[in-house]
Amino acid sequence: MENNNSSVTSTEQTKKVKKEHSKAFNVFTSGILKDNPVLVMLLGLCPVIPATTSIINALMMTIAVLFVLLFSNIIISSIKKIVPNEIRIPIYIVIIATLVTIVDLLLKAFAPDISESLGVFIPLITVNCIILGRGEAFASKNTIVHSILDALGMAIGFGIACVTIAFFRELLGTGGFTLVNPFNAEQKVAWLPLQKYAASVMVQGIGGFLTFGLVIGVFSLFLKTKVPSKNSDTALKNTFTTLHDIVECQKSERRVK
Amino acid sequence: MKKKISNYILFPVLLGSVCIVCSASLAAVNYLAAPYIENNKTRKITNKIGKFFKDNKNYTLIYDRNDKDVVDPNPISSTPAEFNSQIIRCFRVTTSDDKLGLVYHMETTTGYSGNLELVVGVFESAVIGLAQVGGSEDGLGVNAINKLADKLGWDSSYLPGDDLKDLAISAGASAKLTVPVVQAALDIALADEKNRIKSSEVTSTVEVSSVTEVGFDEVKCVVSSVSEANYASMKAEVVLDVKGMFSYSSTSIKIKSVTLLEKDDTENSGEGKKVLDGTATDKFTTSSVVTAGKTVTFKNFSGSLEAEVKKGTFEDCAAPNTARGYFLMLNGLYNHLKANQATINILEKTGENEYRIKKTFDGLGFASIDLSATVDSTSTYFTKIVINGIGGTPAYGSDILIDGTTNGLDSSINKDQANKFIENFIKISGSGLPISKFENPKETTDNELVTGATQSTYGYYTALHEIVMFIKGGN
Amino acid sequence: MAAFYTALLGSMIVSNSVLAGYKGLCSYLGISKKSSSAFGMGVALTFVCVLSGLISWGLGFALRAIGIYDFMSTIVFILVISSLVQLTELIIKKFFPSLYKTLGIYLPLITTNCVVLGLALQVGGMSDPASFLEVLGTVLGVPLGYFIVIMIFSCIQERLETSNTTYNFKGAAIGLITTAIMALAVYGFSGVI
Repeated sequence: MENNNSSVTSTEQTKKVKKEHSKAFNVFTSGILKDNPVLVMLLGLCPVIPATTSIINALMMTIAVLFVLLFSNIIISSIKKIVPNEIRIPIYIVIIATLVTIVDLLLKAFAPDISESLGVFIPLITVNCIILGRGEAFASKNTIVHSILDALGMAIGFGIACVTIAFFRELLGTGGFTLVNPFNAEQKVAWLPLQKYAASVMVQGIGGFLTFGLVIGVFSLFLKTKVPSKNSDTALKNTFTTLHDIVECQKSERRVK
Repeated sequence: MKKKISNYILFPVLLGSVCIVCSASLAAVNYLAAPYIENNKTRKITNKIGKFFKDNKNYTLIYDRNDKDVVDPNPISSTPAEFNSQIIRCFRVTTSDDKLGLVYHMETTTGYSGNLELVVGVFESAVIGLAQVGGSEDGLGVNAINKLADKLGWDSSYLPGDDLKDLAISAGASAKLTVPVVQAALDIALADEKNRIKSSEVTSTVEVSSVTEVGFDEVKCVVSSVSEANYASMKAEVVLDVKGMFSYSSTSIKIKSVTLLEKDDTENSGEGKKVLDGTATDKFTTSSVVTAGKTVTFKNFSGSLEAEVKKGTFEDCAAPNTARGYFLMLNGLYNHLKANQATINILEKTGENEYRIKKTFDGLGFASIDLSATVDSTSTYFTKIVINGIGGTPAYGSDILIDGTTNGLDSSINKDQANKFIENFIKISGSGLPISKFENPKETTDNELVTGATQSTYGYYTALHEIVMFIKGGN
Repeated sequence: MAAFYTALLGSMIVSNSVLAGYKGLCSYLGISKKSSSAFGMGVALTFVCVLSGLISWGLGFALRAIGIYDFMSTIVFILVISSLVQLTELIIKKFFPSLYKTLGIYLPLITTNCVVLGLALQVGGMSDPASFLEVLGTVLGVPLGYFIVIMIFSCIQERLETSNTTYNFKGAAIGLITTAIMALAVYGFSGVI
């Protein structure tokens, strides 16, 4: 009899562990393709166009977003029990702004040319919908481990989107690829096979919008996902109706009191 | 039961503590990163030093506009000249063969929509490197300047007076405005070089002992130059043809004659004499030595001796020191006259009923005028007015005054005003133009003078007014 | 006065925040399904931009005087913006409840709109106290430029909904390609002011 019980509990335990692992795996992979923040959920679009003028810029922007997303998710997930509901948004904003300023200062000190070419869009990571949205919707409700995986997944998804767009923009805009060492702008490796046919409009705003739209369309074609337009409204609204929830919550609290 | 802390205290305290923690961490990171950021800002400029002066031994910062503590360790005189306000930083560079060059970090004035920050490398009176490192200018002007920056190098340097017009691409309004301000900045850098590096070339002391106006069309000067070393010293009386010219730096002024009062033509057993007589056949003599019947443009002597040497002006001359001495004497005269430009105000009765006036106005460059007027026998009408020269006005000024048309003006308001002016004061019909029209002095703000080429019309009116006053004074 | 008009037109058309500055795209694509919602977003954004722009300009001087502008600017400006938005929402809810029904949903979205923070950072960096007219022109011109673009785009979107686009390109993809053509128009203005 006792043997039966213990074997039952052990299978239950393995089942639980497997479920947890698969949940963690889902959390990680959803951000990469299925729920890609830029191409499917249409969040965090602002830095995409200026950051995708070249592949190095796209990579550096991804690293910056990864840094901020990772640490903000970790911090928000660790303090979620201490922070009262009403003031959590301002506190999250302050934390994210701090992390963004740290990234900005480090870039200005060690990679000044990247900092100059990305310009004002590094401080604008503060109001990037991805970071505040994920912190608010996911990290404040889940464990630290899941938050880390979510951050990594989202950042990789962002990176895939940015690098894809930057690939086409740089190829068509400058005729090839130029890899610049971000820490020492003198070291360059350039492979420019199509330089004679380069259309510099592609590295400017027009080409950015065009490539972005085409990549979104083709992406949804290949992944046979739902058409992004419907998702964008709900995703946006979902992320930010929570602010309304706070106000409603406060109202209801006062009524109860 | 634990006492619950009121929300009104808890929330601000929590928010405040989060803010304090974040600010503290930011201040720490900033403290660590600030030196690197400062370094990066100056490294942008010092990188250019390495680019312009490859294999330089070292360089020192000798001037920083924002830092009063930076002083020049080796000034060339105990009271070095002030730096122009457009220069932000200046570095003195020692090249690999122990020569001295300068690198300026400077800003230009506003071109089309903003200014430019430039790094300029200067070596031996020529600009050998140019780079743009910032500034708010945009558009085609910046492209033009980058083209110039790519072109400039040790073999194709920029010398003062070089023409950069072909860089102002015809379609580019911004390029037309950007290129002149950059050129002005380059000239400032070149002019400043003389104050920082003692010129290794020998110079001479030039003394201009007299400058007299002979009538309306000539200026006679006596100039002497004494050389420190082996360049020929000489003294001469120079007559300049300034008919219709108001500024000595104008490109059309010609030297009518140079009479050598004292000279040293003994160089190279007779070659020196050939140069000074104008009979030698080298480049310098044929182009710049004034002989009877041959006039030479005064502006030939406007550049510096080093620049002329670089251009190769003296390379085939058989008596180079004599040629240099001649050049230095006239160059000194040019610099003196340019710096001491006096106002011109000559009014004379040149014939029975003829008067001529030549006049410049302080601060109104376009108003300068040289005209001759003929009155009738009763001195009531102007029967003929001839304009001998007007001060560098844009074409529409001369269109109004000389051709009597308003072609160059763009606004119809200005065209109307200008046509009225032509009717009133320029057109001579019937028995003539009544001199009573010019009895009252007028200002540039006077409605009858405002035409879109107001300085020109003001100059014209005032000149005729002075003639009228002269006539009324019994002359 | 010329400085005011130059700054106004320059920031409204020549350096339009969406088409030439690439900011504000999240709400630009998400809000503009109906003209009424685009209108509401534009009005709310103008209000927040003008107030926060002027406050940021003043705070910029204070921060520079203490010497902490370089690393505290982002935090201070974003706190100003979010508290301004909360305050505005409370005021509108209390005093203009009918207005709240139309505009209310957009106000929290303005907190994360890149246009406002971008404007605050741009204006906070203007260090000449005499350039008040220019600052006023900029803080008016930027949201008005955004307003114009979002209104035009919402009218275009209404047509796009009923047009025969390839299935996978419907929505955001075709919207962005349309924006590329609009950006071409604005690109022609560059260098004018």
